[in-house]
Amino acid sequence: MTFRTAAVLAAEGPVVEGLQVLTVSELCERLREVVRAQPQPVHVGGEVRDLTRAPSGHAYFNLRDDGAQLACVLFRADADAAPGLRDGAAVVVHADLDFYPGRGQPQLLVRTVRPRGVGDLWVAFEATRAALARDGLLAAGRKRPLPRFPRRVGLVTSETGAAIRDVLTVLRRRYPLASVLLAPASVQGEGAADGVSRAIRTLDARGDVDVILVARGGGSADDLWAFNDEGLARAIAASRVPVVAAIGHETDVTIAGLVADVRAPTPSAAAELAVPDAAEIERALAALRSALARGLVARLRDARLRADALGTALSPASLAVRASASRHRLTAAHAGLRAFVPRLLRHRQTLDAARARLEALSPLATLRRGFAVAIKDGRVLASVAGVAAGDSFLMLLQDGDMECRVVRTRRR
Amino acid sequence: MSGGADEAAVTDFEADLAALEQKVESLQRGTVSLDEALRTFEEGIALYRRCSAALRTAEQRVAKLVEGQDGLEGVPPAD
Repeated sequence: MTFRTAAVLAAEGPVVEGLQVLTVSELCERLREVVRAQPQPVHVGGEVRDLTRAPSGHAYFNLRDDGAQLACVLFRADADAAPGLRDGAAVVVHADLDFYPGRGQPQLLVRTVRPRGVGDLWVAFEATRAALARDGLLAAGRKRPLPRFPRRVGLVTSETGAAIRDVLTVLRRRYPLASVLLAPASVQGEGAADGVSRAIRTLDARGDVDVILVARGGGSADDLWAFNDEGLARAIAASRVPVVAAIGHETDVTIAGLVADVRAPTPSAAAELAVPDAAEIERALAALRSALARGLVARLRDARLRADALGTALSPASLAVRASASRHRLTAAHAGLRAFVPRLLRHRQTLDAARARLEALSPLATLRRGFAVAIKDGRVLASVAGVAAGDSFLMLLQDGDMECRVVRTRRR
Repeated sequence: MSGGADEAAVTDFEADLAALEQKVESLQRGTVSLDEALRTFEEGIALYRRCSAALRTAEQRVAKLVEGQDGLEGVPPAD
């Protein structure tokens, strides 16, 4: 902490010669900084006293034990997170430590209030969560995608629970192609966490399981406690096969659910997430089948139109006339062959040029150069004559064709 | 362990579906020759029938691991 010199203070306000004088606000601000620099948030156990609920919805109370007390504020937005808040209750609060200059005292900004007992478990839960987070096991980047078409689903649950029926029913209805390998495990009480961990490791080690479901139906916080076990969490994290966890109901947050690749709200939902829907695949298959048929039809029509267009382009009378004219001239030249060899050669060149031009006029070559061919009633359109607004025709481009309709014609 | 046939069916299913999608795509591109297009179509239809039949005829197989000397072991499914 730095202290100001008297000179600086003199410039700011009242000063007593030779002393360093702070305003109350300045000191409180320092205290606030000190308090806020403490490790946050804190979990504090104690008894609720002097609870008042302000009209604003905020709640004020003191948390005390035998030797001390601290002022607490629970803001309206967090009121839902404190169902057990009443005078005299033994609680554990989860809070940020702050300093309130208005009263010159530290206070706890409470986020949640849990009854003691549950509160102790909850502290253990938070400790496990923190340990896993430190090791990076809760990072979103660790979550792996589930396989699209699992061949075998590994199921870890109790053989006698409600979850197994729900899961098997959904798997059978949605995707009977996947077989199920059940690894029975007790999901409650002594040894449950170890049993579930072992089942996960066994399924993972087999190498023939594509996704693992860990499921347990609803129950009390105590019933679900095995799924907050750190060892179980680490078994899930270590699995090479993606794990879907469905523990209890949607509102039940467990460590296992946090570590799993996917957390499902219920066992049935876990099954739905783990496999695709056969009915959906059948619809997709039907669509693929139609696409196949459409593709073939389009390909056939395209081939026929190209053949037609080629035939039409090669047959116009003008080309035939020009060819025969060349032939006439050639014949004439032939008569005077001896005398007119140079002229004959010239005619040959003319003929070759004509052939080259004819090839260049082939629609395929033209299309490749970026031109289009318009075809109506099986004939290439070369004139607007005989074409009226509303007529439809086909336009060939190098990579396909378009059905077109004439808006209007205009003769140049 | 169980269901060798089932497993083959599922492996094929995924591969078949991918092959079918590929055939549709190549047919839609329209760059294949006419002969090739016809062949692609026929193969595509065969793949479609196989996939469709696999989905319709599949029955769920459930196998169970039991407690053995070395932990959980596989047993054939009880039909």
